[in-house]
Amino acid sequence: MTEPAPEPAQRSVPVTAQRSAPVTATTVPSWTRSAGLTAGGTAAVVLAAAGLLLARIDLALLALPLVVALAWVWERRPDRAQAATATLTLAEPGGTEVGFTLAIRAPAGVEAIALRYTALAGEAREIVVAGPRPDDLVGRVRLLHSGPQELVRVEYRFLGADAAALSLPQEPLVASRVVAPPRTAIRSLPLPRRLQGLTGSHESARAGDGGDFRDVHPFTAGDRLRRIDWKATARRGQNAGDLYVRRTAALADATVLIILDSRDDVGEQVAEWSRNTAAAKGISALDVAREAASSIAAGYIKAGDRVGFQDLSSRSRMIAHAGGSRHLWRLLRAIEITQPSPVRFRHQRPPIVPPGALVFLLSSLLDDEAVRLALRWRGNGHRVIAVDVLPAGRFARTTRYERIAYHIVMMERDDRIRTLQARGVELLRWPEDGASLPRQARLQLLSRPVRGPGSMGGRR
Amino acid sequence: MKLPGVVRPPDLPLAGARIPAVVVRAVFTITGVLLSLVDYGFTGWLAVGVVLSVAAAASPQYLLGWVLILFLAAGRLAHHAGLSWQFLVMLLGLHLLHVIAMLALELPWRSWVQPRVFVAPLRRFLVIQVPTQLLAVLALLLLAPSADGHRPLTVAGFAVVGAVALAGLALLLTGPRLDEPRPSSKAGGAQPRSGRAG
Repeated sequence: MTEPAPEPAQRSVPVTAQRSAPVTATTVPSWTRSAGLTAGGTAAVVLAAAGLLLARIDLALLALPLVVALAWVWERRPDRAQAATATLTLAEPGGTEVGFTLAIRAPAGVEAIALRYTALAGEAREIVVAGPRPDDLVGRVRLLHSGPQELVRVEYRFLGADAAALSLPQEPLVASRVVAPPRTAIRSLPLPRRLQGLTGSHESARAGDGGDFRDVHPFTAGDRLRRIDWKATARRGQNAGDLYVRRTAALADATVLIILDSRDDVGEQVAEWSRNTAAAKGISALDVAREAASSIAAGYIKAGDRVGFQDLSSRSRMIAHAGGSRHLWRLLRAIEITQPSPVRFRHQRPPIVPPGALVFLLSSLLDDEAVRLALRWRGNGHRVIAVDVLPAGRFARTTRYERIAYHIVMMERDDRIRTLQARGVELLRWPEDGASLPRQARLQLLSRPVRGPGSMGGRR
Repeated sequence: MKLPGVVRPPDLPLAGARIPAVVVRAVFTITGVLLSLVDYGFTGWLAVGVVLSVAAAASPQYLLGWVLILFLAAGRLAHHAGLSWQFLVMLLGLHLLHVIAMLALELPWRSWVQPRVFVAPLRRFLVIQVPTQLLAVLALLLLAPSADGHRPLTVAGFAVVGAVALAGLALLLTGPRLDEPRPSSKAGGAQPRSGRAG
């Protein structure tokens, strides 16, 4: 009669936490014995045999503690059929940090647990705690970035008495979370060259209802009688039948398309551009881009406009333009889950832009793809604002060659920006790095009425 | 217990893990060098002991720790088999080397270890060492050859030791393997073993 075989591990893939759901793994560890067990046994046998052959009792006595120790740890080896449970729980984020708790319940006979954990995919740290029921391990991770990210990854294995028996490394516990980007209130909203629709909060160039005074115009069929301006009629009328009306501007809404270039995500620490580790790269271009995109989307939606969104690195992450608070939540969710795609995606045709829409292109402008798209849209008559999201570089721990390479990349980038501006694409630098006007002032400048190709009069 | 965060790892206690695993290897090296000194004195063999101690600590995966144990035990051949403090120190030291080598083999060298991890091995070490030392003293007094080379109980003693060793070996060979399930404790030992006996 043989004992039933232990059940296989109940989980075979890394578990990813959604929000605050604890990540739990219950497994039956696979055990193996340490090479030291064999080596110690061999040494003990050799000593005992030598003592016997050479008639040296002292040699045989030297083997005695080794034999006893090996027999002891063999007898106290962990129960092979017993399951182990590990639970990784993320707390609700408190400010800029999030706490996590790791609880491990190991099989009987486990004397130590070797843990290897990484936070924010940074450098791995290893600790060895006493088993089989260690106290819950509590830690905190600082939320350094927005977007989807792996906060904590824990790998572990169990060690028996004197590390003579050890389990194979268990499947890692991974706790991930999507961190919403911060939002900035935008007071000045740049508008497209043509406003559309019959309602909204922006004054259009058309005469209609809702807006401020537009002009005084001779009475025509369809004008309401209460709009007749009797003073203007008395002043301007040449004949008895001449009537003049006061016209007001019609209201309309804007259509805005936010296009986020998430193909690269470099941080402010130039030395980390090649490694791109989340813990060390500092504020990244995508952090800035997510903040800018969500701020722009919230600003326009609150003003009653229609906003669409498209991620340049993915065909699927596209949201058609619409308005309303529910649509805003859709936009914010799409923006916060934006991340670089491992697959390079080159657009054969630029994303379709609704007629008369204002295009915000959020990019670090480190390659020509975004410039090509912006110039295409500008050539089609759209107002295009390129939002520069590349944070100012920091040069800690950089080599001379890295600094030279950075400056070359920046010069090429400046050439692209000059090309954009020469073709009529406006530039908005989002990071507040003190290099130019404050962001609100830059937005205010962009919000001034413009005259240009496609514009309809002084107002839009 | 507190795990370190990302921001200030050096300042935070590592879940109470205050001992770097490198200390285990350092203790192994020091123990090996001291035992070599006790065993061989200031001779050329001391250099071999030092090299083995350092190499075994630096690369425990090559199992040089047990080579060092055999090397130190071989050094006893140059001494009289009688009771001496050097032998008792060697008896303690070789056991200690074995325990530390087992731990060093599996503890990640960059890790930090809770002091509690060493409590159980230390307790086992003491529980084994105390009777072993007493037994060694007794055995050497009774069985070791005297100064004139007379050893009245040696043959009988080795017969007993050999019989016990053989019995132990037979038990080990007939016992369950590590990858076999252990009998359930609820069964109270009444269930028969798996059919791999012998």
